[in-house]
Amino acid sequence: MSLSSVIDRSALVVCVGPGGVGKTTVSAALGLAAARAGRKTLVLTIDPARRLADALGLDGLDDTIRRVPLEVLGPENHGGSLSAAMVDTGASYDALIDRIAPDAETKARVLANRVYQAVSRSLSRSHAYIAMERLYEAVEHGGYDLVILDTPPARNALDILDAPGHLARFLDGRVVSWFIPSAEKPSGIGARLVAKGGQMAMGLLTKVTGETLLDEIVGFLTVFASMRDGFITRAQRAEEILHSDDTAFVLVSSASPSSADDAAWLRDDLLGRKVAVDAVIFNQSFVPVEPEAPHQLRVQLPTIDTDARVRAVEPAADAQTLAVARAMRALREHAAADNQRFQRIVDGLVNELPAQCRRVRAPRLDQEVRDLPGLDQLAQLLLRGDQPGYAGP
Amino acid sequence: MQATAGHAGTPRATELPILERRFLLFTGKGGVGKSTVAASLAIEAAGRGQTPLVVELGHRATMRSIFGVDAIGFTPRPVGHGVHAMSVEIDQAVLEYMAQHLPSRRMARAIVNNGVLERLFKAMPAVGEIATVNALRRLEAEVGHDGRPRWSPILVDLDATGHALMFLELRHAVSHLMGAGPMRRLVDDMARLFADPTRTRLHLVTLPDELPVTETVELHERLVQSKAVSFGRVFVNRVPHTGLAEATEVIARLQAAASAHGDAELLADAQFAAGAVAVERRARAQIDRLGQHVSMPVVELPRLTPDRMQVDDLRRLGTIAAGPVTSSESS
Repeated sequence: MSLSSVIDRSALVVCVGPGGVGKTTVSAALGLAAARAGRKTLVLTIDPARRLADALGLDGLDDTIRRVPLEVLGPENHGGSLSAAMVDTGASYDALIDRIAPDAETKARVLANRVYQAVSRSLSRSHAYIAMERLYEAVEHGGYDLVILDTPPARNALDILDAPGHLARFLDGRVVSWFIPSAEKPSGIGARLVAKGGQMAMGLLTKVTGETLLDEIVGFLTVFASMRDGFITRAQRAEEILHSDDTAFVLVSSASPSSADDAAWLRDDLLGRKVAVDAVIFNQSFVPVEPEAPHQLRVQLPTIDTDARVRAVEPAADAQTLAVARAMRALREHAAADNQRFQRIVDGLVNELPAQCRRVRAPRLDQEVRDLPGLDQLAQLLLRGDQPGYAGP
Repeated sequence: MQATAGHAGTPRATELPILERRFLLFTGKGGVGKSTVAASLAIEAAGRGQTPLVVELGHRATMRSIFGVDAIGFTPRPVGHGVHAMSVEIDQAVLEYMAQHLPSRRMARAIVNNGVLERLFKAMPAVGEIATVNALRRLEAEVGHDGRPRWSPILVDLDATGHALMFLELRHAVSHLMGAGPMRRLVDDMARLFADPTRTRLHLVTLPDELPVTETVELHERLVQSKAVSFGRVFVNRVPHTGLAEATEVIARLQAAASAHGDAELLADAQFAAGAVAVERRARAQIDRLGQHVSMPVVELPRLTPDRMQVDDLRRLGTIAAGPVTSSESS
């Protein structure tokens, strides 16, 4: 499946990749390409990427889903549309609690709990849970043809795959009943033993953690217990969506050695999970040495006699002019040689991937994408950089 | 906040040698080369007879690939060039923490072997970060056979900006959450360590592009306000150099001449050079902006080949990184 059919046919595209490779911008560019091909598209990003709002022609980007003004690019959108939002962890958690809390009192207790506040606001691991949650809402109830999810950078990227399972396991009856025997209204000897075990465990944990924290956690679990079923159902559904045939995974990397190493780790992790990688996009993976044709990847320039060429166009050229011309040539030759090295890094990553996985290469742009036309240009370069059956030089 | 008034007149921290701190922390936006800078400074420290330890947080392939070793785990291992490296895996750090803080090994085992308890413990907010802090303190306390600290300096490759902030401002994040107890003591203790300029320096790594510089300026401003950590240097990585910055007129003339005579190859050379010079000029402007807004010494590191870094490259970078400050006014 070509890159354009990936975005034409999938219901969800998950972009994973290391930090600093332009993954968020690539996700937005893919969304733009899909929208212009007539699909109703939503791009969800987790990273606070400020430039993205500009690139999409929006005033700002936050938890509210906004419509991107595609008219700027001309009238021909074939009925497609593009919307975007940045997942704000705190706001999304509150919205989730609002949806699944059984009553106003439970909701108020959760929102006031310090553990809840810490988890939902300042602490890192909660991002993956809420991203899944937003994804579930968007795919299930958003009415979009395509949702593109831009995941957090490398190390945490696959947390998102584990998040539904973790959450479900964490909230399973056993954990809750260990600490709050009344939550499950247990009876009988077995239950009393569990309750007793819970007390002992609490004593131990207080030794390890100190006061307050544990009390707050128990409070947190107590209110969460009432919402457990809602959580688990949604987590299971989110997991199904991630493993559905309509979901595509796109690995985004650059051609820098460290990005490629991180990407290789992600690739192996995905393959190990039996998740098919549908495309690898190498963003900024070569220097365009043909200024008139930036999509063209060249690793070598013809040998020319620079002095003779200069004299042919400027017969009176002095020594300084000749020296500048030679330096210009050397600079461009050096860039072509760099491309050759980039090529080796790309090949190293690609060789381990199954043949049906698309390889896409996009050039390094001189400036960051800063408006919709710039994003559209990147989208075109991505579609043009799609190489069928590409298997190295 | 406007540019720090008179920062040029303020005595700068780097009057003390950069490598003579126990903890060198590194952070910056993803992909700017934090690990490379940390690794090259570690090599430099080893070259000066120190016993550097590079610490990565969590699973990452970066240090492994920089030093060309097959695995880096929770136990420090030599990675060549006089450098040791380790990776603080959260799970292992949590187990270590529990073993240290429970009255008996039996209890620690009881918790560790109890899936429910272990899961609960790991799911608690900030536990991973606190266990990491615990591991860093243990490394700081280790002494060698001669009775001197075993690791010096300890170079910590913090995660990208967001995670690093969480880590540096841990005391603030957990202050409402934790009453008296070992975790609270550890967090308070670590906060003092980070803020102590004689023991710790935070180095920022950035690129000479608009967005990374803006993020660096904002990060610096936030940390100035929170007073969470004492600052070291800002490393501007991959600074481009064409050698043609003064030749723009000649380039423009050649471009026009090549275009008029239809020499496509020469024309492309000139266009490419003009583009590269423009990139260099923008980079220079960003470095100047950084120098104006950040009261930290700025050190420029050259853009090296995109291929695997060789040890010589790392040595070269390390020597520049630990060397005199390239103040932005000098160019």
